[in-house]
Amino acid sequence: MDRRKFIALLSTLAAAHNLRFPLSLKAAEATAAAPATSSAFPDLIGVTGGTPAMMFDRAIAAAGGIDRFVKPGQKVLVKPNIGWDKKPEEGANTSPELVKRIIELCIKAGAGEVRVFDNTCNHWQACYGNSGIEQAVKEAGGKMLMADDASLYTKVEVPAGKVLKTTNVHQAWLDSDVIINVPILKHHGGARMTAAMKNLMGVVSDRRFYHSNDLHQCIADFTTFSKKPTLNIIDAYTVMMRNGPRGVSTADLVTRKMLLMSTDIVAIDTAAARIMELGHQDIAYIGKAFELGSGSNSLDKLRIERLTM
Amino acid sequence: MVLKNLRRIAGVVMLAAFILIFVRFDSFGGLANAAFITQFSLSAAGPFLWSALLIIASILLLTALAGRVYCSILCPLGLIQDAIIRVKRLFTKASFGQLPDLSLLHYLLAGSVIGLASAGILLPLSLIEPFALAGRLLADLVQPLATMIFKFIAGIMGGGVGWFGQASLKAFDSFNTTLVAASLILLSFLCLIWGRIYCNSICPVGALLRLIAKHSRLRVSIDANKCVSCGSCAKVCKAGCIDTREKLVDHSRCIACFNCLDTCKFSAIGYQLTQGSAMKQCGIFSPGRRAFAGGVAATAAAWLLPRQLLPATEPLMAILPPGAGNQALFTARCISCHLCVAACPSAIIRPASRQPGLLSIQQPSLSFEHGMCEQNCNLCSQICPVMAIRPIISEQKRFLKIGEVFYDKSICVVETNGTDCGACAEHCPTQAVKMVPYRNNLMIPQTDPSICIGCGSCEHICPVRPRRAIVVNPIKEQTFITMPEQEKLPEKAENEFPF
Repeated sequence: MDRRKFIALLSTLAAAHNLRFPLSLKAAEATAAAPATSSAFPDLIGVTGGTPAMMFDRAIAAAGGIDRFVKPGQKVLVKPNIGWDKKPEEGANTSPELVKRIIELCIKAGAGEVRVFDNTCNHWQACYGNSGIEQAVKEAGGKMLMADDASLYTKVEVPAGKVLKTTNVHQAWLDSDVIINVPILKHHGGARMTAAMKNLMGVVSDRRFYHSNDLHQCIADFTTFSKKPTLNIIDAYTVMMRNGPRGVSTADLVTRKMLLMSTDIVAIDTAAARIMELGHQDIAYIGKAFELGSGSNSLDKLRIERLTM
Repeated sequence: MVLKNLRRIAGVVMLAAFILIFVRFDSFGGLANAAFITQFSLSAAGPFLWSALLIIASILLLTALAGRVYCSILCPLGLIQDAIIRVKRLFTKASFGQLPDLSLLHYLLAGSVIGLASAGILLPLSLIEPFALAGRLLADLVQPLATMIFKFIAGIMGGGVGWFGQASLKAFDSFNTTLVAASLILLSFLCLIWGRIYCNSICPVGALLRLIAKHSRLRVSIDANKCVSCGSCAKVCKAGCIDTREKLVDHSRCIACFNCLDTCKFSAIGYQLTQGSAMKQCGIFSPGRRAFAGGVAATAAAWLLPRQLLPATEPLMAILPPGAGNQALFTARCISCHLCVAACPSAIIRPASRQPGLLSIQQPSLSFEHGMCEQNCNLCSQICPVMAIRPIISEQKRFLKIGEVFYDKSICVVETNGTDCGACAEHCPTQAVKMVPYRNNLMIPQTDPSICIGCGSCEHICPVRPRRAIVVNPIKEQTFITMPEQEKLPEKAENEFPF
């Protein structure tokens, strides 16, 4: 028995032991067929073992189907991480096939328009192109938006913010009915980890304000803004474990074949931190967002669905 | 009429090509090879190649056969002047009259600047060289204005990704923009009052071509038997080279615009095969060759100039585009056409941002105010028409060091505010800046200059103002860094939830 098989056996035994895994799997299949009220759904869904698109399909079924989040005619915004001029296999941007699958499902659910943008770090055209996301969005029938020009942003108040009282937010964030936040999980030199909350730095125009005014507090403050993501999906198929968020080479990546889904942005980041081998207390913005009432950071109090493909 | 219209069509096509190349290199960069191959200076100033020799020979041969057709349909600055004159003619039909022959000044000037350039002092040549001058007008005035219009249109069309929105917005540089605007004003002034006088008293290419055009086979000439010296041909002459009293045309100054051909009621002026020496025909003694030789001889003295006075030893102040090598090489090669300035997608190649000395005035260098030198981009090195920025493939360029990081901890956010930041390390492509544990559970930048490529990502994103806590300093010579082998990460079990 090699190490991999041993771990697989161990995890199967562990899953069987607490019995939640097989039961909830059945529940997920049942809910996919007939969506029940939101309280019947798990707080957090983790899927492992498939491609990003396959895992998304599985997770969204367990969450009650895309129809639970997207109603016909609604304007949908999908916000991946497209921060870097990197190819998909370099693990710095959200997987294009995942973005594509999300858009396809939204359109199938009757979405009026599905739009995608990110305020990139590298040159935006290079990021949109090399990440494969522009192509994926086009193929899926979505619309790619620009985000490099200050005129595309609108100043908003963040009343509950401790440091971030006002900020300029991309217009598409403000006028969409549904927002699907779909970051890729990575190490981050400054913020320790980038996942769901940190990904929202890509919808404001002035990131330098965050960096010079308590990065963690600003990240947490933005989660209190009245317009919040409807759904958070974390792409953890390949995870950048060091030298993030840009990465030096593919030696920085490990393959975890995971995907997380939750409506609770604090809970999903808390779970993501575990994949990064960090505790939520290691990442200050998780605690700060919890204090601001943006979500839960106690995984043991949540209904977690763990699905293996 | 046919010749004039052909000249006009060819001119409009050429000028349109130049404008498109400079305004939207991202879309029309492909035209550059075709358009630039016609340029005399680019062939002469570029590296020695048989193809360059062939181009120069072709241009000289064309001039020997047909006169200065180059000046009327191929030279971008000639075409810009034609456009200015065209605008003037909308308002007034006033003639430029017969202009004085400034050949002595012209040959001396051309001889001097070419001589100085051969000695490595390129500035005087690049200031008056027609391609470079036209390039600066297009790159530094037309391009930024056009982009503002493109961005405005993109705004009206909504936020979707589209051609207009993809224009790369360049900031005006106060010093350089003033210089270029001044050169446009001066050129327009000359043009409005004396027509194409630049071409016949300043332009170094014009000086070379007029030596040959003097003996051209096909030329504009007057049939003295038919001519009544009415002056209608001289009225439309842009070069002011027709002497109607003496019934002579100075072919050395004729820029082959063919405006005069259809004005004559007596068919006395024509563009035809003419035998014999132009000198005898026009009867004007030109000390051209002597002045030219004098200029070259005088400036050969520049060779004897102590090398210490040349830019190699000037204070190290500029970060050069990737592929430029070092300051001395770049200063001696770059003709300041600003094509790289117009084409740089990140808008970091800036004219006159940080200049090491008078000799490199208007030569471009990098400023990370508006962006960083993108790791995967090697566009400038691919397009430099004179190879002042030498070609370097993308895979190598990733490791080409063009500057070196300098971190000032005392003004860093982590130190002064006691909060996490990490913007610099986040952007660093090689982790020459990385975050290491610091007091109070903070992370602070730590630099390793040996793997820094000087791309400016850190400087660009650093939020500290007015002086940034992390900057890139110039280096003497561009070199390649060696990335250390990365340690392997321990393998992780798949399919195992850690929560």
